[in-house]
Amino acid sequence: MSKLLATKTSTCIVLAAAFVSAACGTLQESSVLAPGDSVSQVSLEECGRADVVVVGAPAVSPTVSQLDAEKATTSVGTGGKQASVAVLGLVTIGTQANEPPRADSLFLDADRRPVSGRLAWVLVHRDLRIPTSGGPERASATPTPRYITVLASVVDADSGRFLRGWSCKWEFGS
Amino acid sequence: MPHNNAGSSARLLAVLVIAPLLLFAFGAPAAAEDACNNLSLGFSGNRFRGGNQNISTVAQVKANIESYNPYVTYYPPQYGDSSAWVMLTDQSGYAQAGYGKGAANNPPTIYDSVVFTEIQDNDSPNWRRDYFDILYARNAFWFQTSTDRAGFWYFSFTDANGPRILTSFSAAQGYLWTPNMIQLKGETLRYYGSDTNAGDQMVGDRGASTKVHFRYVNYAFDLRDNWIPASLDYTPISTPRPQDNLYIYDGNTFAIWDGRCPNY
Repeated sequence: MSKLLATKTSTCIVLAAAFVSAACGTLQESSVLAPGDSVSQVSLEECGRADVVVVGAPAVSPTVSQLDAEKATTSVGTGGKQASVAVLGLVTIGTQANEPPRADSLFLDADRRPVSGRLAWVLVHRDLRIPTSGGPERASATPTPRYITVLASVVDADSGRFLRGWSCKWEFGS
Repeated sequence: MPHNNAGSSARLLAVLVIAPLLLFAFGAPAAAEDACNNLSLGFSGNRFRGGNQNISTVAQVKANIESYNPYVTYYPPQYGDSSAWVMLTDQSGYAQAGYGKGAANNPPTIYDSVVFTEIQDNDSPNWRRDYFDILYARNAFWFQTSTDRAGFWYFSFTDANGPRILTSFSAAQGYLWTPNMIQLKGETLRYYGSDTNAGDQMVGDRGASTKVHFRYVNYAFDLRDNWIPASLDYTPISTPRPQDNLYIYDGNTFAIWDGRCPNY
């Protein structure tokens, strides 16, 4: 059974402003992440999803700075620029979209380590213009390109490795 | 506090020695391939190269695809995109797994491809893209898209550490269409360039060694992994770019590359 290194009941003050780093939650005791739990305690604003759970960060300094975490998202299309929202927290990621992570559905990183209670930066970049694929090839006119305008990323705060990202908002464009 | 020159030197030495090692350990950004030659102002819009097969009750598709770090257009406010992927589709809805690059707000020469998945209900706004591993070194990987044909979908990715599920969707997420075709393509968004900005490069260049190979394309009719080698049709569905090349080995292995690129 996977564990989160923070209580599910810790009080959290969610700040809408940029840079919510370590704003809420305190490390108290281990608790079990049970099936069906939904313990998101830090707002990711328009990027919040049930399969990505973030709880308040412990009172430690991360090995990787926010600046370096932002750089680690460059490949995804952020240009490595400053995030609109940056949360340092204990992150658990599930593989079942929009469902709370369970012990048997934890996302594994490239080294096959479950991302559960992982100290990580969660970044939300806005005002982006990231092209995406055109979908299926069709005999008709090629599709209108679709651009991601808001993107969320998770970067391991110890290794600096990009772990996961997802589109939050998108629009069609030329 | 007195300034300690010896300590500063030691720290500087440590930074000089350790920092490159850390960078290597975490995966250093690699240079993209050179910009393509023979630039021309041409059409924009997604262009494809690869194969497809109509399979009325298909449930899974997988292939081994070489990774690549293609050059993509950086010409603000217009940015390019280049990718390679496997897909289940009914030519309206689609479920896709592959790798790609989309240049945005950054020179396209200093970063790497990233694994992605996309899923869309039939031409509806119910669309999303997810990102996973960054591919720091060239290699060949398995990409797989699967469905029970009743609204459950999952995507998997296999590297040297073995297979793993990237993400899955239940029927509650609303992707209720059923696929009847597999597509495996390389894709680019922008063909044109200027003196300082090349167009998107189709993944692969420089001849036989670095064409991007799609190998062992297989499909299945259910989730029991009774895999069947594909018999792909390589006839273009839409008009490909003039220099996006295709080499066919057989019905389930082919290679693509960009004929405008250096040393080809």
